[in-house]
Amino acid sequence: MNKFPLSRTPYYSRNSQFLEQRNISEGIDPQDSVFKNYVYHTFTPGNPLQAQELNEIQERWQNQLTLSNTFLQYYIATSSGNSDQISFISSTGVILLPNIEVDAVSSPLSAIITINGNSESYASVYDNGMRYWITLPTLTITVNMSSSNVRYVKLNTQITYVSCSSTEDDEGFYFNDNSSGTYINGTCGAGRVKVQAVSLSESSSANETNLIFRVEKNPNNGNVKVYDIGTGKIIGGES
Amino acid sequence: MTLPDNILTKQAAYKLSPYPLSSRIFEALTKVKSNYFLIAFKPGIALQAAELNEMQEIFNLNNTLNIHFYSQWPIIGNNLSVEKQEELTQIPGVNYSNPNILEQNYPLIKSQIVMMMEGNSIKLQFKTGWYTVVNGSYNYWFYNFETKEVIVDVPTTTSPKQIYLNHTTQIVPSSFVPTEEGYFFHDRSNRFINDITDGADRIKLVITSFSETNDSEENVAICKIVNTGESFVLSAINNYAIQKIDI
Repeated sequence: MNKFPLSRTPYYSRNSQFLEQRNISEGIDPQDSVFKNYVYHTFTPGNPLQAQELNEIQERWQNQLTLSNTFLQYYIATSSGNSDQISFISSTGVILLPNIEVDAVSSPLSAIITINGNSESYASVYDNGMRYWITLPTLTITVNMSSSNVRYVKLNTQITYVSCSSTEDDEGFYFNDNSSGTYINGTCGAGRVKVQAVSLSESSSANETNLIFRVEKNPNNGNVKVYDIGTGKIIGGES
Repeated sequence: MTLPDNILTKQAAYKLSPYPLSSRIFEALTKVKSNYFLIAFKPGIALQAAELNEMQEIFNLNNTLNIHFYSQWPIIGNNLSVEKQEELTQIPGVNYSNPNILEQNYPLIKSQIVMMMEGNSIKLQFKTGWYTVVNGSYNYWFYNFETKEVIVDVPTTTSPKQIYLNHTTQIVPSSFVPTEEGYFFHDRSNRFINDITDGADRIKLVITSFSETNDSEENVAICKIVNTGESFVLSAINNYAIQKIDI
């Protein structure tokens, strides 16, 4: 079944379309650019309400709820049962769905960590206490392990308000009315709040928000292990 | 303008509250001090952009708090070694003998409930912060705006004390009277509250008491105190321990 069943005519939810769209900067391979993740509609007085906006909101809620439930079921199943384990999820860190692929290659002084992102690579990111599930693009970082055997990696996010626009080249042009199947200029609807994962950076502190990985180097053989900050589980690296 | 320090108490978290988006959720929490959990749309009343923004924030607030819950309460295995049990006692501890009670309330953060001796009785403080409340077949999160206290006799070793979270739901009708709460729901698309443009009603949760007795059969307990003979143990209903006082 289509993940976004309200994308068909005449409901025209745009979620599946938006999910595949990326913000493409000049010189960057489209596959490596950043997904648009709209987490809110910004309904504004004076703009007519579109049926498709109500359809999109319903789909987004179902999607966000499903992602939360999927994660929590996985987390509970892998943290309890016949085990000797106590487990918390991180209160301010990034929480990853278990299907996210992370590669780690270690050298004597550094580790190269890559998130192989796609449109199903969901992570819950933190903003002033609120959380949003967003998709991650492919992101890479080289972590300097020369001065410490433990380093932290932070996921940098960007939150922007995107207004509806009558200019075809603008991102907000796709918020115009689409009830006929084509976008009609001058029929602006709600804007959007967009949350994007834009880069990874090193952090020496365990107290920052949106930490995503703890990287540990084995001093005996130089290999690194990458721990998912959200659950504390090993997510990549070598023994 | 913020709520007492806890999770999700700062305006920056509420992305749809700035004008002209005008979601009222944060303002309701900080100014009106009301927990609106449903927007009750009525036929014949114009839909406000702000109401649609509020719906989105109510949803995301609840979804976020559900995730935060697991950052504050541990998930544990059921084959714990003695060493792990001791570790849990320091968290403070967990007794995993009966984790499967579905209908129970929780504080978001364990330290929101504090137990202390008061003469020969026990005083419990329910501090400000987020709590879940079981309401019918639904669970909602609400913010407790002021510390509430209850004093109970110490339990015997054979009869633990249960403390109920008594609450009610109220319909708050949109109102044309400026002094009434429902006046707050009028359209404000031009920044100021418009006297003649009605809005949707709201359903709100009101906490009536934390008490040894329940006001109605629908109210369920939030915590219990067990006398082990050596200590009084305050725990959630599923036995997740919160605090211990040695006797």
